[in-house]
Amino acid sequence: MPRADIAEHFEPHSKLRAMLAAITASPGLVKVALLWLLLIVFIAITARWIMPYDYQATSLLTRLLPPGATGLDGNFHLLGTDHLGRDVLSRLFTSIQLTMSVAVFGTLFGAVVGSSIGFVAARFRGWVDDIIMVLVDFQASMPFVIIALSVIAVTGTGNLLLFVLLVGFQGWERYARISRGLTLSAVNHGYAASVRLLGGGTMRVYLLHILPNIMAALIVQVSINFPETVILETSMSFLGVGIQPPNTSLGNLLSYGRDYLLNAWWIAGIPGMTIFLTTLSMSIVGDWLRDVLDPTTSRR
Amino acid sequence: MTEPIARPLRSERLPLQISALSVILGGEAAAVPIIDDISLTVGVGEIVGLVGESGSGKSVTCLAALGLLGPDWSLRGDIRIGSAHLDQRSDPRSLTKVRGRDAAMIFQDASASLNPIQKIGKQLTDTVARLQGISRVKARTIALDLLHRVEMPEPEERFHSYPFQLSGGQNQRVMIALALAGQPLLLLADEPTTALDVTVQSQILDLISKLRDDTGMGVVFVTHDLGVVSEVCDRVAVMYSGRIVEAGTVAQIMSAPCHPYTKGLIDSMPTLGGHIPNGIKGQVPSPDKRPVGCAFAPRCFKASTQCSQERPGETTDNHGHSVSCFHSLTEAEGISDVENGGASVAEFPVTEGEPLLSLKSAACDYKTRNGVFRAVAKVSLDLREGESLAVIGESGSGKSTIGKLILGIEPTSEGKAFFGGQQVPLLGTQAHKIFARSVQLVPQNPYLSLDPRAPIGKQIEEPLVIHRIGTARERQAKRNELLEAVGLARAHADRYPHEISGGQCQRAVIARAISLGPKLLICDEATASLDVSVQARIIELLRNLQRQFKLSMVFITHDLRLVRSLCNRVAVMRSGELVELNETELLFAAPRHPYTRELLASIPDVVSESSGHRLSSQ
Repeated sequence: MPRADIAEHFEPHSKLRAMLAAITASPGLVKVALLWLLLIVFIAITARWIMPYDYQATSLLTRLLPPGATGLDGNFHLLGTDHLGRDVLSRLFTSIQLTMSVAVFGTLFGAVVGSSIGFVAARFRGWVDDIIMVLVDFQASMPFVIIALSVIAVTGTGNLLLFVLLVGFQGWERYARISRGLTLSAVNHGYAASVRLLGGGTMRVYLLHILPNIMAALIVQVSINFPETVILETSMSFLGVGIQPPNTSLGNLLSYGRDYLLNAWWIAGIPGMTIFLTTLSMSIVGDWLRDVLDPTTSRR
Repeated sequence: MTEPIARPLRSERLPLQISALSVILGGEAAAVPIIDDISLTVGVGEIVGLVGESGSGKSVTCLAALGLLGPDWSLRGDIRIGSAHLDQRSDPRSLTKVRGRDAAMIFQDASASLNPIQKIGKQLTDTVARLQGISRVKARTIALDLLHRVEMPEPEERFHSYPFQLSGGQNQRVMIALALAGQPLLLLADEPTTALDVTVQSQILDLISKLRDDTGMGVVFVTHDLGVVSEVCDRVAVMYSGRIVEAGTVAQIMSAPCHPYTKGLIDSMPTLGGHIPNGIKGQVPSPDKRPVGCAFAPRCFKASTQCSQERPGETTDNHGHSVSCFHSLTEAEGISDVENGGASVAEFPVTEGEPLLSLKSAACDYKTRNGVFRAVAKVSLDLREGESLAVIGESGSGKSTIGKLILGIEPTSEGKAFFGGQQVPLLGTQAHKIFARSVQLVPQNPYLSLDPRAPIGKQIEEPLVIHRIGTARERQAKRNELLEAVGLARAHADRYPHEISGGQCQRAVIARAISLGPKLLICDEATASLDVSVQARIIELLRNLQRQFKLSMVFITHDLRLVRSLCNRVAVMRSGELVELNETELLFAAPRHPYTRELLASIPDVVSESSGHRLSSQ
C-alpha cells in the first residue's frame, strides 16, 4: 500500500527534501546541536579571516585580561587574554580550525582504511579473514591512547601528517567489523549475486552495489567515531605529544590554561566548554542520524 | 484415538458476526478507512474463505476481530465473537480473555510464531493451563492429547522437541494445537498453508476441515489461492480495497461469479487443465487513493462512468449470493476462461540436433557439519533450443540446486553440465562472464535481486555496461526497448525498486535478464512471491518473450499448475533424484511415478480433476 504513495510523490530531489523534512521534524535538542555544529564548521573554515588579532601576537602588558576587557593598548578582547597576553578568541578560532581538520581528515582516513579492511576480509574469507579478525580483536582489547603514545615515542612529535593518520586510525576495527558483517550478508543477498551472475566483477559488486547499501551504517559509525577522534586529539595535545607550538589546538589551550585555572578560568574553561559542547552535539546528531538512516530502528 | 475434548456445540451463538465494520488508521486529520464498512458472519461449523489480492484488507479484518491492532487504529461498527462484544470502547484487557478462549488465530509462518527456545510441549502446556485455568499436571495431559488431535507424528517424542527441530508442516500443526488449547468458537487462519509444500498443504487443509467437524468451531480462512478455497471453504467473501465486493457459497462464487473482480481472480488461477492464466491489469489502490465510486472501476473491463462516480450498493439474490456492482455479470459472462482451457503448449518449434543444455549424470554435494549432503544425485537431462522444461519438486527436492548447476553457481561433484557443447564454467571465472551472456536467471524475489539503492533503468542497463556493449546513447535506446518489451513505462527507469510494485519489479528483473540476448532463461520460482493476478501477467510476459526471442527456459517451481501452459516437458524431482521426466501432456495424462501422482492429487484446483468441470452449483 505505501509503495504507491511514495511512487506518486516521487520527485528528482526527493533525497534532499527528505533530509530537510527529517531535520524539520527532528526534536529541538537535535536542532540546537546541528546549529552548534554549523557554527563550529563555519568558524573552522573562516578562522583566518574572522579572528580579530594574530593568534600568536603576545603582549605582556595585557596579560590575563578577563572576558570583555579592553587592554591598555585599546584592544578589545571578547574572551579575554592568556598568560602571554594573546587574544583567547583568536586562539580559540585557530584551535577549532586545527582540531576540526585533524578530526575530519583523521576520521575519513580511518573510515576508508577500516571499511576497506572489512571488505577484504569479506571478499577473501578463509585465513585472510581469520588474521584480520584476530587483529580487530587485538585492537578492540587495547586502549588506543597507549598505542598512540608508543608510536609517538618512536617517531617523535611535530609531524602533523603522521599525527593526523595516527589519530584517524583510532576506531578502524569498528569500521572493519561493520563493513565485513554487512558485506557478508549483502553478498548472500540477491542483488550482489545477480550482478555477479550478469558477469559483474568484484570491484563492481563491492564498490558500486554493496558500498552504497551499507553506507548508512558506516555514516552512523563516522558520527560516533568523530567525537572520539576530537577527544583523542585533545588528550594527546593536552599531554604534550600532540599538536606542537606555534600551532595550537583545543587540547593545547586546555593544557596551558590548566596552571591558571584558579585566577584565569577563561583560558582553559572556554576551550573546555567548546570541546564539551561540540562532542556532545556530535553524539546527539549521531544518535539522531542512526534513527533516521537505519531502517531497523526507524519507525514505519 | 483419544477422547474428544470439545465443548458441546453452542449453536445459539454465532462464532463471528461483523456488522458495518470500518477500521481507521491515523488520527482525526489523516484518518484513512483501511476497512470500509464490511459485514461478515461465520456460522457454527462453517469455514468462510476471505480472498483478495495483497493490500485488500484480509489480514487487517482478522486482526481487528481479535483486537490486535495498535493504538493508531480505531474501529467503527461492531464485532461479536460468541457472546463477547468488541467495539472501539472495549477495554483492551477484556480482549485478552477473548483471545485464545473464544477466538484463536494461526499465521502463515508457524515457526516464526512459536517461541524458538521453548519446547513445544511446554508452550502447549502453559497455554492450556492459562486458558483453561487448570494445574500444569492436568494441562500436560491435555496438551499431549492436543498433539494427538492435530495428528502430529510421534506426539510423545515431538512433545520434547524445539520448533526448529520440526518441519514447517509440523510447526503449523503445533500452532493449530495451540489455537485449540482454549477450545475456541472461532479460528482465524491467515494464509496457514501458503508457505507449505502442496502435499503438506493438503494434509493441513484436511486437518482443519476435520477439526471443524469435530468441534463445530467457525473458521475464517484467509487465502489468495482460490484452489484452496474451493477445497475447504463453505462460503467465500471476496475483498477488494477494504470492501467486500462479493459473497456467497463456494459453488456460487466459483461457477457463477457476479463481480468482474471475482472473475478476474478466477481467471488468474493457473489450473491443472492447462488454462492460460489471465491476470488483472493494475494493482490494488492504497486506501487513501481509493476511487470515489467503485474501488475496482479503474481496473474493470465493464466499468462505466456511473462506476467511477457512485459507489455500488449491495444486492443479494434469494440464495444469499450478494454482490456490489452496477454491472453484475450474467451467468454466461461469469463462465470463466478456465473452461476454455485446452493446452497450448509446444507451439514453439524445437530444433533437432545437439541439445543446447545437457546434464550428464550431474550430482551436487554440500558439505555440512554432519558430513556430505547430496542435494542432487546423478541427474541427466537435455534441453533443446526453443524448448522449455519445468523442474518440479517440493522444498529440499534439489530443484533449485539444478538451477545452480546450470548457472555455474555450484560445481558438479560428479558428472558434468554442458551448455552449447561446452562445459558450464564456474561463477567468477573469465569464461563464466562470456557464458553469462547466454544464460540468465530470473530469481524468486524481485525486491531482493534488485539493488535497493539504484534506479531501475540503471540496473537494466548495467549488463550492457559490464559487457561493454554500445555507447551510452545506444544503451539508453536499448534500455527503452527492454522496458517496452516487458511492459514498463519509460518513467519507470528513474524509479527505485521500493517505489514500484512487486510485479513491476519482476518485470524489471526480466528486462535485465534478457538485456544481453540470452539463449536460456532459468526461472527459479519466478512468480512464487507475487499475487495470482500479477503472477498470471508475468507468466503471460514470459510466454511472449519466449516466442519473441526464441528463448529456451528452465522453469523451476513447486506449482504444477503453472507449467502446463508454459513448458514442453516436465522433470519431477524428489530428494535430489529425478523421478519422472516426460512430455507435459503425457505426464499430466498418465503420471507414471507414484510421487507424481501424489503431487497431482494434492494440488487444490478450481477445476475438479475428474470431470474437467467446475463444482456444480446447488
